[in-house]
Amino acid sequence: MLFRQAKWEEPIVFELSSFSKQTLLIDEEFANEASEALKRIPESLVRSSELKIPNLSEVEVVRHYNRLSQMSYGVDVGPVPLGSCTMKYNPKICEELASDPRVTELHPYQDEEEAQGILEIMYLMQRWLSEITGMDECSLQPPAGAAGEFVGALIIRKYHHDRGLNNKNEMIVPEAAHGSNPASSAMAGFKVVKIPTAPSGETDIEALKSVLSDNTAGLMLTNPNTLGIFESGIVEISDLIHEKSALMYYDGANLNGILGIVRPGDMGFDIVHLNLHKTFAAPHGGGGPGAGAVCVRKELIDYLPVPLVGFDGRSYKLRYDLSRTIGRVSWFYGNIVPIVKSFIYIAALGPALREVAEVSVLNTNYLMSKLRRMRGISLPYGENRWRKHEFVVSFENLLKETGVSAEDVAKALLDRGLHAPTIYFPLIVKEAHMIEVTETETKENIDRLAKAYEEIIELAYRDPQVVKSSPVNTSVKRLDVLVANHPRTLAPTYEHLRRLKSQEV
Amino acid sequence: MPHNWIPNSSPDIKKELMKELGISDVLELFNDVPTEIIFNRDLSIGFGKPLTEYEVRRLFNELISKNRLSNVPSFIGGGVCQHYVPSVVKAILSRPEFYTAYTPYQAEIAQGLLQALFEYQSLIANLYGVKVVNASMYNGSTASAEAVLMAARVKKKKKILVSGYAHPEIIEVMKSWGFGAGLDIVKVQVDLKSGETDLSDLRSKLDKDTAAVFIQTPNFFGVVESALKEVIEETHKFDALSIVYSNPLSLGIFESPGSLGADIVVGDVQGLGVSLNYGGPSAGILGINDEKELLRQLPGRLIGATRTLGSDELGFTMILQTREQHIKREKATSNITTNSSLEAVGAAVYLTLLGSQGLKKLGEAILGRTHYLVKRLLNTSVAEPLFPESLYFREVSIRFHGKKASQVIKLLSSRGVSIGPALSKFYEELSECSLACVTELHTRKDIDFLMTVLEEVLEGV
Amino acid sequence: MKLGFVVNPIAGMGGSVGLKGTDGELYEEALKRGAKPVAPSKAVRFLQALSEKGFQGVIVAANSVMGCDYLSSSRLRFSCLDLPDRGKSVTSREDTLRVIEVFLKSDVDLIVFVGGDGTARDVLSVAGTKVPILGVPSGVKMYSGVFATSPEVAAEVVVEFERGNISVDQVEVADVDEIKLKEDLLNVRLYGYAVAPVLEGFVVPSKDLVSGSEEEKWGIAKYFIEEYMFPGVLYFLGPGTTTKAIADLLGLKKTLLGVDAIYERKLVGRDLSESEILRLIEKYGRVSLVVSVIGRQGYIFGRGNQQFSARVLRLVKKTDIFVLATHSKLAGIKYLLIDVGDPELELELSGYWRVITGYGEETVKLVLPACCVDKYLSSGGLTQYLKT
Repeated sequence: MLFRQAKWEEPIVFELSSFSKQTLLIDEEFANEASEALKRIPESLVRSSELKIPNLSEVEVVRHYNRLSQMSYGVDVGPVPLGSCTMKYNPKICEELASDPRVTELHPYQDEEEAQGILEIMYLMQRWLSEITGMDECSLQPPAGAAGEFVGALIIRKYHHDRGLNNKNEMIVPEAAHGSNPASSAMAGFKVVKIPTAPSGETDIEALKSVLSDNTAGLMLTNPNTLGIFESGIVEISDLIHEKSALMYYDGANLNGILGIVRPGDMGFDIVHLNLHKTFAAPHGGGGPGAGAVCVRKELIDYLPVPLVGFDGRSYKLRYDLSRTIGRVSWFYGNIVPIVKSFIYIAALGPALREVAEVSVLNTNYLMSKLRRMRGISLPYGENRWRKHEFVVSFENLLKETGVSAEDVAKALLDRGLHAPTIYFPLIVKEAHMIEVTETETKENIDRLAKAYEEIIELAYRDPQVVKSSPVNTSVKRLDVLVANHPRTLAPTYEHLRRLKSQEV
Repeated sequence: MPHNWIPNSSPDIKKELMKELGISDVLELFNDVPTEIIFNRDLSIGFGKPLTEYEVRRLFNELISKNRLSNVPSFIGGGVCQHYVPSVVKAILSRPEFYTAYTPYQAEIAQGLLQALFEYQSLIANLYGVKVVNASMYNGSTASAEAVLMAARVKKKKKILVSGYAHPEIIEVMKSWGFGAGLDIVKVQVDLKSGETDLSDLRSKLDKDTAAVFIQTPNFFGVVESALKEVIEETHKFDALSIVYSNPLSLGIFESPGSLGADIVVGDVQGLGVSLNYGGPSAGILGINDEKELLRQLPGRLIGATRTLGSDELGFTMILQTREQHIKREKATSNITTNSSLEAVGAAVYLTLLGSQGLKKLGEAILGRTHYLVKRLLNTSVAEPLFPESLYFREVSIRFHGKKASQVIKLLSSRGVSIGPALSKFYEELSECSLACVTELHTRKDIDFLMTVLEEVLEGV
Repeated sequence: MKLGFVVNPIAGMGGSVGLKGTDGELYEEALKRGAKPVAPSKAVRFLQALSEKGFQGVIVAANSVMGCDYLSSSRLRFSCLDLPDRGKSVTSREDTLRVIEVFLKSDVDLIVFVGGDGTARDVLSVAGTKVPILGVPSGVKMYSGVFATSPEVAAEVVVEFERGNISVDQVEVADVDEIKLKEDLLNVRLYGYAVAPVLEGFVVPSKDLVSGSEEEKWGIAKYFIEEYMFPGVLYFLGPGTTTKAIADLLGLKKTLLGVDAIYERKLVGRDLSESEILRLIEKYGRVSLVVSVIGRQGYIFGRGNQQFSARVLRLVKKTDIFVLATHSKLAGIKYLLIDVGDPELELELSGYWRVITGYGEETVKLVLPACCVDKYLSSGGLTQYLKT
């Protein structure tokens, strides 16, 4: 398929010049009061440093940012098979309804009586997410998945503390876990103990046994794991952890492949965090905002962040009456707009949510089956196992035989109008591509992706230099990441860039 | 259950895919899940069956109509207020290349998004007077928490002094986030006459164990911290970092915290192209001045300019990623991955639309309204500004004479005026006090109406 | 930038004919068995990659087969030393040493050598830590950490080093003990630490520049002291920079290559031999061993720290042995190995160990007898293996 991305030589906003020197119209109804008040500002606090924002007319601003948008790529344009990111297509109805002013113009300190609609939506979400995860209650406060993990880790910490078990200071995390797991544990004050993955692609249970002790506070696990493999020993793992009075924590970033088929609660988990923007379809916004949820078993409800939304049979209320709450992880109540989008998504699908899991898993294995036959590609770990929502292949052989790396292949995919998968993750697989096509890709697009891989590999063996010099059809060619990161040429703002340029002259 | 959001859910295509795999039932793909934990009933979620788009729309409308917005723009404050979001911002943010993109891991295909975020970083750095700003945090509260954690890491000390009139929920968030690092968050008293941070109390609490001093201006009570410069200077005497939280909409007229010597600046872009959203999402601002000391400890994503390999074309990419959790994991500066990119782009669009002149005018429009509200409150017998002598911006703390604020708020609400929050929500002793917020949305008539209703309600007791 | 370039033309010749090196008389043996030189082709590949990647600097090269022969057809800027004498067909170790001396005098910024562990030792013996060194792999034995993984990667490292994009770090130079080798005992000794450019994280997409390893070592050392150092216990610190970081943090001067003993935060023994260690164990009673991972193969005992013999290990409880390793060191190592010539003991020590990999961070690794990794791998699990 022919693909040429737009390329505008669009100046950086500071270099946009306009003779019109326009500005958004602001009223002057209170000009007199303003000039009185300005005089009251202490001299040291009056702005004297220069504001360098250009003054432009509306059409100039609109064209600038529209041109920039044309030099970007989202899932509404084509597939984005980033593993672990669950980049599914997001239905437009969710977007439109969530932008209702009765959502967007509502103040968080609005009287609860005047916010019954949104509170009911949040209450229903707490119920639905509990049902989906097999838990008893959920908090919607974490603004993203990582914040949810952090909440989970804090709950584990406080739970043991309240039972006088302060020696429980070790969090067990698989080597192949999402990077945010150990980071969140460390933020909650835990020592992190990493355990390896067995050749089967599952957690090495013997290694797990070897580290269990009275110091074990909990295990953070994602199931299916980051290789896309279901931990079939999960019940045994849960029992082992619970025997040590430790807690099971479920990283729900990878829930898409098991929705309605198996629930974390039934696997033995005590705490679950979800990324609503992944599994329940809120667009990723170029990196955010997302929305997280943390769901727990009955015994842990009291530890959730406040407030929860409660219902007294008559009206919905913000509940602050949790005696052991870990406190707040964010102000107000969470990222409401993505929560509303997820609400509409679940409401619309209802029991058909299970179809999401079935088709995403079917799509994954279909693509994997095509890819694993290709030269230069290997499928490390669990050779004979089905994958769930995602799979990980290695280009180690391709690199050895042709010098073409996983990164080169990723860049070559861009040239074919396809976004690349997640690369170099998980760290236990060399030259990795972690691929997740989700349930929203058509067979046609999945075949296209497989075909693209085939072409690139063929080219790598025939003329590796062509692959290594991709991409060429994107707005810019391959970027120099070393220059980008070098202390001498680091330029995180226009001011840095301007200074670097003036030095060159 | 075929559904048009799931293209391959039609039985024919499923069959084709299954043929490739040599299976006859999709459930065979789950043969590694122990049977005793397989979920074998329908999920009890939604409304019992898949809904059509028109059914969903109707249902949502019924629900959301239970939210009631006042006719007059809201006067509720408390860190976020109702502001105008220009149509331009909405139009740009609904470009699918922006809002349906992922984090720009593949830079070459995401240049536009990266440039927009680079512009956000540059614009906000200029506005706050600092060298580097990251590509956003979740919101102002988590940006503040990350700021104090960063200060503790850099200074290898645990004590954080926080102005007593910083947003109470920000202080709560700092405490939760600082738990693992063992932060000792100590409140600095407030001068009860001016509503400003008490300098002598600050001096008595500052010592060599202090990692940072956190101050918010205008503070939670709406009061401008007029001795900001002195607070920063005092802080620096003890080898501690100065963290200043300020409202971006005030910085068209007020001096930037960075120029006053702040080491770390924080804020929230709500109001700068971002709606209230019942509290979220918004985007948190986090910036630093001393690159040498702080850059490698700055949490969150950072975009940088670079050039293409082999040619010298300008381009943008994410930089210094080893600070981030997905590579550095437990030694990362923070666990943040997803941030608030879209709101950051919105803030950049709005700033560009305003220009330096517009931002100044907007600041004056808000300051003028605040001053007008304060004057009206000074001239009524039913209420007064909590700190009559002080300079307020955007929000005003009010004392109602002889009446519980929570009651006043309910009474005003029945007259179609939204005001609040009652300060008793955070400070038990201030049961007669509330906040009120005025922005560019309020006309003189609106503010006069607020005063009229307030007088009627309070006098009518 | 000025680059010193030297080739050991006979390095690697033993490999194809079943010899473990070409040091000393093994070279004659290799020739007899019909070995062909391999270093020249590696040198050519390296230089070609260097030219393609846009190396800007100037090369100072040894004469003839030790350098200049491979440069004459390239477009790189270079000058030739008059060492060794042109026409000398067989070069020796002494030639290498003299070339390095001249490099030092002419202030080169980096020395690149083509060779194996033996060559690395020779280069190190003159260069010390004064100039960073980098090996283009061409030997039979390559236990040292100064080698790039291929001639092309070596070129990449040089170019990035020239651009100022990568930093240097201390890395091990190790070699097999030839005397023991003749008795068919593989005995890798640690010879010292060189300074080498480290392209750490180059496979990671971020390609970030600052090497975290120094910081990592401090984190490990700090954590060890806070968490695992108790009064009344004698600590034997094995060789290596990670274990040395513990002594550094305590303000003690530890030998880099030897085993030192610390008691109550004081140094009570330096560069100890096996018998001295045994004596100290008897004297103090409560002891702990602290070792780091040696070499790219992942040895914790039997390579570079032979002082910790089977006799010593039998006197120390498994729970009193601590293994430290940075992430970069552990990356790519699947199993940790023990080789102390006592199969029974090695089996006892096998199993899952916690390795301290950072501040507040431990990683579980499988420890196996070096002899029998394959046996374990084919048996399908350690438990099965231990049962048989």
